[in-house]
Amino acid sequence: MIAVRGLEKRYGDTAALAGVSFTVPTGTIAGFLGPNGAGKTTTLRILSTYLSPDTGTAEVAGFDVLRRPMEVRRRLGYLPEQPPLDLDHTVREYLGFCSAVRGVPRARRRRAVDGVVERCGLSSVAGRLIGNLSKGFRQRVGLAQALVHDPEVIVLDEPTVGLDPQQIREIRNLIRSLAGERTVLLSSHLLPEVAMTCSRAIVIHRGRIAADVDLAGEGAGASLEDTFLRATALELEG
Amino acid sequence: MSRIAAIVARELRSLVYAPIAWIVWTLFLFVAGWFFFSSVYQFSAIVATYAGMGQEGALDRLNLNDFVIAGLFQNLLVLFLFLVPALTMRGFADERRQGTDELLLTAPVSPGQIVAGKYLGLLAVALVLILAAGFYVALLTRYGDPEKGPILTGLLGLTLALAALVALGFAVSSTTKSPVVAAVGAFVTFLLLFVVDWPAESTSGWLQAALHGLSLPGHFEGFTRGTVASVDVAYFLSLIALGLFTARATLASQRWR
Repeated sequence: MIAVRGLEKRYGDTAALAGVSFTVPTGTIAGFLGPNGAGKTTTLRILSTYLSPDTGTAEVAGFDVLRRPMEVRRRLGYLPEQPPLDLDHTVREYLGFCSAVRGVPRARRRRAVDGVVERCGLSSVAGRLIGNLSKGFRQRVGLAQALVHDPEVIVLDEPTVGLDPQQIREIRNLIRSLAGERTVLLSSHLLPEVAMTCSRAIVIHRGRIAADVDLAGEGAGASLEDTFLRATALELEG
Repeated sequence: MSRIAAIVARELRSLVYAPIAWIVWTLFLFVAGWFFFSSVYQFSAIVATYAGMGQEGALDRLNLNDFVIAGLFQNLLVLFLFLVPALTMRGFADERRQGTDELLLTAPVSPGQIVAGKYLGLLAVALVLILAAGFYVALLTRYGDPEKGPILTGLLGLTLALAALVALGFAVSSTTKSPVVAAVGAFVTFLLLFVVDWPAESTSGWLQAALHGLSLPGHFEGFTRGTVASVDVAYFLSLIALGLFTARATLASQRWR
């Protein structure tokens, strides 16, 4: 579960978040949608405990990000906007490190790495240096890094940016396969992306939540587009 | 504990693959070898000259420890001034530049564990330099008969000084996202510690004491002459503590921007 209430964050004179509230129930794949600069990355960084909010609270898997950050980190898989890759390590070395630092017990690390290599389609490149991989493979390594410790809550910042259509489809299938007991929140500035992967769309614009749409009930992506445009347009006028 | 070990192992891999570790090791072996060769060569030339002039008394006063080993240790300390910034510049600055700080700072490890792991990894690479220095000096014991005491204390002093410089260099690296800035910052910091007591002779009282007290070579000198003073050991341990504490505080505060 993810619960966010009244998040505000300023960078100097600029307000990145001006009161963001939403919840993502357990088992939901939610899309965090908004134009560039809307506050998506800032929100996700607060959820990941990388940044602190100025005011407001955020809970991940039932733990407050400010008061119990270690409990949050243990339960969270996080893919930052720029995948945090060790370019001079091999895929397997890197994922081994990620599993260790995330607290996977030594005896289970090998299996955890093998599992995530398999799931993310990295078997053919597992022994290669990450710096020599294509952008698509690097993005998949970034995703693998977020999944290797089998977290309850998964936060992905623009997981499909810069990929070709085939790769986007693979990543999309992978993300859909995560549903179940896990909670997934992924950000995107592309409507179709969210419409196809998520059961929920949370639209953010200029640091505020502009719409929160249940896609299962709404049915078509077209109405999401309407909602998105209406929500962002309203803010533009106001 | 196993998380710190994982960070140490990753740091070692990064340094060895990078290949900063190899560059630092090679340059050290080469330059230290040159220092060693030239001081031994000079020593043997002087011994030959004195022997030729029949000055037996002067020969008695010449000894390997004072002439070769103490000087060699002093020179190696100066060499650290240049090499340690190259080793520590990536420290945490490169994590920020590559975005991998976001991985470390959102993993269930404390800033203290991150600092401990990265510092131990850097220190392991740095300590190879002490082994190399030890190897050169060990050559002398094979062909000459130097006193063992000052050699051992000298190596201890070098180890402490190196550990202190690595800690300070890492601290500087933790404050920036540019490895170049980190290298220059570390070099300037080290240089200040080397020259801080230059005006000491023309001052007096507490100021003179303070300038001497801060001087890194001043606290190192005793080790090369075979003495281990607790004040000197405390000086280097304080620098290590200062560096690690600063780095930890910087990482811990990064979330609150």
